[in-house]
Amino acid sequence: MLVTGLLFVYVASAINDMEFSAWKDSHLQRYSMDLLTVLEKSGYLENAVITEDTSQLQNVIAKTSKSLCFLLNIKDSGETILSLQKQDCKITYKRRLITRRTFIARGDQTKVYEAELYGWYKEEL
Amino acid sequence: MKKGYLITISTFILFFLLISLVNYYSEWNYRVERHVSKVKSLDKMPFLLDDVSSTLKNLMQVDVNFTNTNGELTTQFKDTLPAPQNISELLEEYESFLEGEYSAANNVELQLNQTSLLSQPRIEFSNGLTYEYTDGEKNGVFFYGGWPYTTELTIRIRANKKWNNTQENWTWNDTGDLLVTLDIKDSTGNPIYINGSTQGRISSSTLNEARILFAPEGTEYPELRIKLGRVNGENGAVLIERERLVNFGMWLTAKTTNYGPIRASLPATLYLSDGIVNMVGSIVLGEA
Repeated sequence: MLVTGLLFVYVASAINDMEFSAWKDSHLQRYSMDLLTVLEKSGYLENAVITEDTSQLQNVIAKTSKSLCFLLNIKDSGETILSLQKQDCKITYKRRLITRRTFIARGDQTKVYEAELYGWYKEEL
Repeated sequence: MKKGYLITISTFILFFLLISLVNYYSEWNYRVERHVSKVKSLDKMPFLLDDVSSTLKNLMQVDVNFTNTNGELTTQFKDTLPAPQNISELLEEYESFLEGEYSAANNVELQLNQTSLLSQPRIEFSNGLTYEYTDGEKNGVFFYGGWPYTTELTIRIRANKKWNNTQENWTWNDTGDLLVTLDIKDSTGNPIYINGSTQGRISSSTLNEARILFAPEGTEYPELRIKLGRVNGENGAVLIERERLVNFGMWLTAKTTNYGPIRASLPATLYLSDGIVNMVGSIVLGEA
């Protein structure tokens, strides 16, 4: 009886703690894709590359859900040229999700850049 | 004795029930993970297609807007001729990046088929209208495919050279079927007239041609050519070409009678697969 009782407690606890990480990943992926799409279509990614100023990007990322953390890298030919991170977020996570989007900047010359967005849940710190 | 049996049997039954429960949840969680992976793939593929479409559109270095209301399609293009960079080269570089780094980083198999776009860079509308470059350097633009439904054309040009003279074979015709408005200015801001006017009607089936020559540079005259009407075998078409040495900003607006939805696209297709979802998509720029 005691063994069964302990097993029952263990199973109940396991079910209670069961983390639907897949659903959470799916939500985070959608959020990240939407965020990158907004940053690209609004021209903020292009502006950041041309002006080397990430304040517009920082403002948008600061307005994202409080439970989410983001780190954005902008890459030129694989090299990170700009990087910014949401405030009050630390780069320690159990799971992270990477979403990428290409965009062009028409500065002195037209060039393709890549935005790489790392996303994770704050509560997982 | 009987009580002992009862307790033992009850314990075993409870034990098996719990084991079954654990198995069920474990299996259920696995099924959910698999289902969500598919959902994630289904979400990701259109995002990648939109990403590629958006970048390809931007690499064409032209702003395209179109509205479709009350049976009238208005298409507007804002362009710079020649292109600051060869667009065919940019498209080829992007294709190489997509099929290499981008494909690997996103963990998808990706193939961009843009042979047709590279051989003749152009934007196609589902009603047949076509905005086509004469070459990868954008030395000229050919807009056609609207006849007999194109009723109005407005051409605005801002050239970077001072006007010298215009040679024209151009007939304004009050009974013409195409209303044309020209707003052409040289580097000093002076308007350039064609056959004495900036607005009038022409016949869609007759070739009208103007050669606009700018102040000579050495022995050469920078030159811009406009052909309107029947051009390269197409009625109601317009060809604007930089013959030599002049750069210009160009805005082209066309009104076409139209019924039904319109889609603008590039003649290219993208194949995507991540092992769960396969997708083939055309490069759509917009719908109205």
